[in-house]
Amino acid sequence: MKNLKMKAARAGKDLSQQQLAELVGVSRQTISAIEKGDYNPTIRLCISICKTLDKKLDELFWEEEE
Amino acid sequence: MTVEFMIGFGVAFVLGLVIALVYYYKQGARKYYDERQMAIRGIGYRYGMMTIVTLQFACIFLKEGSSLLDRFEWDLVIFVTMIIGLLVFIVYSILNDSYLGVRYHVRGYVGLCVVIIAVNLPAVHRTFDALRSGDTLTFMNSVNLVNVFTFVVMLGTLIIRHIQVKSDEE
Repeated sequence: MKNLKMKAARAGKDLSQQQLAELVGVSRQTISAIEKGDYNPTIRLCISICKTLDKKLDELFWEEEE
Repeated sequence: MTVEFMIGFGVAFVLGLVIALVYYYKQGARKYYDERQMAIRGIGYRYGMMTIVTLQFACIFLKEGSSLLDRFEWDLVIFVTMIIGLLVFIVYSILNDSYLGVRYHVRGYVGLCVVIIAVNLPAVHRTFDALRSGDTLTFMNSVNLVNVFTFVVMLGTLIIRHIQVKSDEE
């Protein structure tokens, strides 16, 4: 499932995938894979992304039940 | 051992060694693989190893039970199975951007592939000569063809991935 919340939060901070990748210490393709829902990051990377985007874990990585 | 063979193998070995050393020393400056890439490489190793084991078992059965491999020297068969296993790992890793920083050095890798293909190409005729004359295909008369095949596959994968990434960029 696509992570549109993370994409929106990144766009809100005016960061490109490459910039976010450099800030959290991963490759741009990894950020792209997380946003596309192709990769489930470890909790460590989730926390790092949340801190960089000033969000809480559940704001970015919690799937709402329909 | 022919001159073409020695040049092909010598150049491939020296280039490989130089690149490995450069990467080794650069790795001290920055971490090369992130967690996703490490996971991908782990899966790639598994696929590669499974491919080698499966092919080698298949080759043993074919050798014992049929005449299909009679024209191939056993060293060559084992070498080819290992190269195919390695290629599975390489292709899987490249398609997932997890192969030796390939995304950062596309030109370097393409250049390396082209050079290795170019130095091995002149000796490829020996395999076809052996095929035409009905001789056994040995490691020595076929290794250049295997090298060319390996690096053509690697080059093709690099180009495909490069095109995919270009269309995927924001």
